[in-house]
Amino acid sequence: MWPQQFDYQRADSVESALAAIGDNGKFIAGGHSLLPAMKLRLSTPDQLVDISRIDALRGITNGNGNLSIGGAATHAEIAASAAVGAACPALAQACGMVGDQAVRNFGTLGGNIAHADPASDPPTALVACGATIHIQGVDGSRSVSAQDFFVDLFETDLQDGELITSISLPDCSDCQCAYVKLPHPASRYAIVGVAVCLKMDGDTCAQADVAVGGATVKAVKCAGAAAALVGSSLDDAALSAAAAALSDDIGDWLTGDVAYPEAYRSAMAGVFLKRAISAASG
Amino acid sequence: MSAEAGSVIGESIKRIDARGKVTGETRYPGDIDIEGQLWMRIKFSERAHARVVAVDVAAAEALPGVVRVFTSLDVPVNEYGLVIKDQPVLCGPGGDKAGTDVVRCYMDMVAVAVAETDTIAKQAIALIQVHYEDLPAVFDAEEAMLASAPQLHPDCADNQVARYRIRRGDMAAGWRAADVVVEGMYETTWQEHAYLQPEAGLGYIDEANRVTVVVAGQWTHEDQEQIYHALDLPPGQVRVIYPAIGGAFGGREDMSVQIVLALAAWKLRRPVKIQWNREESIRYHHKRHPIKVRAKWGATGEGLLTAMECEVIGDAGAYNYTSNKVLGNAHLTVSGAYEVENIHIDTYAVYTNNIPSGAFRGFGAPQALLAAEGQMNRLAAALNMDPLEIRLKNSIREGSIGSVGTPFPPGVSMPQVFAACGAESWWRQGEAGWQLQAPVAPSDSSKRRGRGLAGGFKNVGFSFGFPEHCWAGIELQGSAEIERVILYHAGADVGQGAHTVLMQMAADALGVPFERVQLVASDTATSGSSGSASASRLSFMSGNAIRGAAELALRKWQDEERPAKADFMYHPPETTPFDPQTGYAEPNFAYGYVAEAVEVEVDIETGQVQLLEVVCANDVGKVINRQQLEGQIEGAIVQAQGYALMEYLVSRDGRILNPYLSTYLIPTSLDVPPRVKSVVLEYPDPIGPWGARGMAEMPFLPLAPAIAAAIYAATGVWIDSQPFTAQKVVAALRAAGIGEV
Amino acid sequence: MNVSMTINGEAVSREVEARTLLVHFIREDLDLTGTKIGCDTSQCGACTIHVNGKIAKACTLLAAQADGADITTIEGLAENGEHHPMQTAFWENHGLQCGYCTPGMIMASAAFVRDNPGASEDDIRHYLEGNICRCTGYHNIVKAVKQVADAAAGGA
Repeated sequence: MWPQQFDYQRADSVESALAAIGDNGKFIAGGHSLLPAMKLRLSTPDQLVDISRIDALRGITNGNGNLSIGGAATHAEIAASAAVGAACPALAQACGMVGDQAVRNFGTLGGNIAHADPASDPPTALVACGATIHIQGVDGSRSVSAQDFFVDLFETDLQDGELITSISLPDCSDCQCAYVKLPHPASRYAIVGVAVCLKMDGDTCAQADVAVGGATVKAVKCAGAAAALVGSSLDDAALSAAAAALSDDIGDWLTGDVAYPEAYRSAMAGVFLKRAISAASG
Repeated sequence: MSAEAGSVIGESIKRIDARGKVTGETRYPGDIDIEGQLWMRIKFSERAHARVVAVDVAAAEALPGVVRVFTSLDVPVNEYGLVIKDQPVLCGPGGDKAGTDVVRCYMDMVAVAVAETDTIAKQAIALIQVHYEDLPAVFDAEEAMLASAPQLHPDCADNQVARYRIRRGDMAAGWRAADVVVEGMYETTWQEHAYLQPEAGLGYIDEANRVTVVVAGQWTHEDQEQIYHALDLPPGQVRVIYPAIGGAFGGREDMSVQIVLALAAWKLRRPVKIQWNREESIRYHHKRHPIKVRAKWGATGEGLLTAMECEVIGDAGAYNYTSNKVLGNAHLTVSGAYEVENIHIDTYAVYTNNIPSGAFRGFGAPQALLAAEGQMNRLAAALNMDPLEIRLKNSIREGSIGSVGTPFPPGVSMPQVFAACGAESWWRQGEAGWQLQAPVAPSDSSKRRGRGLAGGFKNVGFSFGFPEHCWAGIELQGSAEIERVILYHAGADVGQGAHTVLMQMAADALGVPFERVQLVASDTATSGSSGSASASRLSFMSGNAIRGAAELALRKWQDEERPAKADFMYHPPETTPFDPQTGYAEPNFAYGYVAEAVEVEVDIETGQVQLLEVVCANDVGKVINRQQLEGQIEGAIVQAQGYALMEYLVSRDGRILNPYLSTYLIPTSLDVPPRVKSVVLEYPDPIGPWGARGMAEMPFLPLAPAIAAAIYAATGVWIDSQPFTAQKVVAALRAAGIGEV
Repeated sequence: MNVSMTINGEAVSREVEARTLLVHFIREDLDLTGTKIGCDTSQCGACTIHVNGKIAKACTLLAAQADGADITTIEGLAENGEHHPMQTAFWENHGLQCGYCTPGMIMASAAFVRDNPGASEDDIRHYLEGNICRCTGYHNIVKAVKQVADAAAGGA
């Protein structure tokens, strides 16, 4: 299976990459989302600009309460990073669940979120944990919250010619976060993925963020479920209220297929909200 | 010569092809190229059912680099099919046989383009204009049986390509004698073989002016027959060679690229290659039959079966392939491995505009046993009897008369197999008979565990009057002693290790060390027909053929012939087809028997079913190569696990919606049960070589119903529709008020 | 465009179309057909090779992306005519049937044991989730890898 013809060049800096990208060009880092789409002719760029060897896009740093991950950092690097594991376990968990080891060795976080596959894991963790996506274009740079970045099915806020330079997250070493999913058998794509990020004040939940993916066309931030958790001791009643609110939060965004229809996924989102909270608290 | 000290029968001889496979040297069809080869691509039907009015190839042929586009007008005899020649090689106008201008499904071929490169051939295909006149289509087997349904084939007015009956005993008396009657409806859907090597092949003219096809298949001589029939050539003008084959499982029993490759190579007199990708492989070869079974069974309060009524409807898809045989086997096995006097069965194989259904490991028995063993488990539950006890009460045994009114061939071991499965798993024998020990309850309250049992039998070799045969040739070289043995055989090593086993059997039959045996295999130019690598028949049939050839060769050796050469055609006892009214038949000459016990864990919140452990008791008659045999059991179980729990081919209006391994999901190393226990039993088959029976399909058969029984034991709900996806399990659980969060 | 890389210790350089996938480059331009194509959607792992020591699915990388890389395929796994222990273990343990998944399975397993001597059976099953086998049921594959992992731990 061959992709359509295109020109290829490798960039050695963000500036040269931005300068090189044409009207119908795509940046390629690992290519593990882009190439499969190109082989199926779902994506037909006439030019690829390889950004995988730009050092500025590859680092993972944690300073001043801010975790920063280069757009071209691989899932394997993120999953294995002590800095990510400490600052945002949910993201480390999600990146460690992408594809398989060979895919994680080459697939990058920037490429993953630019592709915005609803069944992928990292977007859900990024939305729950309040990530910010840093984007550069020829006209300058901008930042957008993960929540606003994911627009619809395979659709993001990223404009033609723009490059994801990094993803930053508030260091949540003082909160509890987790990402869990109901995986498809075999492919292990998320039928439902739920990420939670909780801040506890003693036994009381002081702050909560919840996001759902897999069941939905994009990673969805779930304010209703979060509100039901805040102020509670995460008791059964609060969890049930949160699960009920969750189905409203995701109602407009549900997706499904023959094997796992929308109603099933919606019900499972509630189940996995509880499991995510349990994982975060454990 | 029997197996004795020093014999290699039963030894885990390392497979002869392992070296090339671990080093990457082994070449599969797609790995072989010939200097100057052309490339072929196929134009498939773009309609589920339509008349092809015209095929315009002008633009394609005008494309630089295109050598030739072939259409229906180029096929000498435009028909093929393994059992019934009901499919055109290339659908289109101009034929002298009615109906060859009709496409009946999306896998029909309309034209093939041959070009200097694969890319040009692909471009040429896009330039071929096919003009269709749409015809009404039908995608449901039961709808296709209605008088109002469109007729798919000119000579099959009711779309029923096969129809069988069994009428035995007195049904009214059977129902009167019943204290309990259970009814069920069991449904299965398509399964994709998903062998790892997608179809590929090379056609060329060999040094003896034979059109030669190098391809992966299951029966060289059947491929050869279908090619020479369509090309209207004498048999000797066609040669078929199998190099390494990347899995088959029944999926390579019918034609894929063989005939069109031969056609192009023969007409162009140049080498032609084709390579399918995964999407093409899934879209364009047949699948396991979707079968619906309605069953009503009665039993006495003591658990003795009194009456059985079943209706079996199989979706054959657009062409017969092996549907009449597969549904014949479902007809035979839908009553399970049990004796009952009053029995009434109706079975249908029905044409639809879906992808054709055909051979797949188990050949109709997995679908039939889902029903039969589902019924048996329901009866056990209704009577509060142990599932093993009720089986042993009703099991066929030596001398039992089958549903078709004739005795099972000698060597019936079903009761012993059931008992061994129970004893090696979780049953204990006490005062009250066999008793299943319940599993330890998991600590997680969302999880429930259960254990289940199922068993069955399957034929070894071709059934229902098919002229079964197998050829082997042996050449003994040396002077004072046999220094070298050359074994000629056409049997396909599809990955199961057949070639190693053939050589083991030759070594033993001749009383020579294994190392002295060489094999010349899988080439119609060097062997007679050994039949297919299917129906769990190859070891059984080949063993008998090899023993025959060995005996003749040794006689010549003793008569001082050097080299001593002999060949032998083995014919097993004859079988007969079903009587159309009563079903009376002697359907098979040998059987293999199997039972499986499983433990599952059900997540009652999500409906996920995890298979924790499988105990498989399989009567193989005689072990030839233990390592390979256990490998077959383990592989069959995982394929059956995929079938039972996750594999879900989705087709809408005849078109497959998930033709990739990213969307059609088969088990990975993370899905499979961590524990599989193979209980290998050796009750000899009286006519099997060294007592061996066939075994490759048997471990597939009872797994799905055993899992269904275990889910019931864990949760109290029955799942009767395969695959048992989490969504279906949750729906059943919630309907029973279980697991609501 | 020109791509250059080291494959199995040998420097190679070829003119290719930009869209050439690494697996096609290896199989068609270099005639190293031990690396297989099974699915084309990075699911099955039949095309698994090592790129700079890390396992990769060669159907999901462009040859251009591997420009300058050090690549090992199944043909380069044996050293000095000696089979790699993983090759021997698959052979001995009947960790293969049709053999089509075997080169990719061995390449993944060899990298895994190199990095994880003494790995558990569970670790092995997790690591190999990206390599599909339709014949064996995986048991003998896991057994083969475990044998090498144990030996590697013992020798360390």
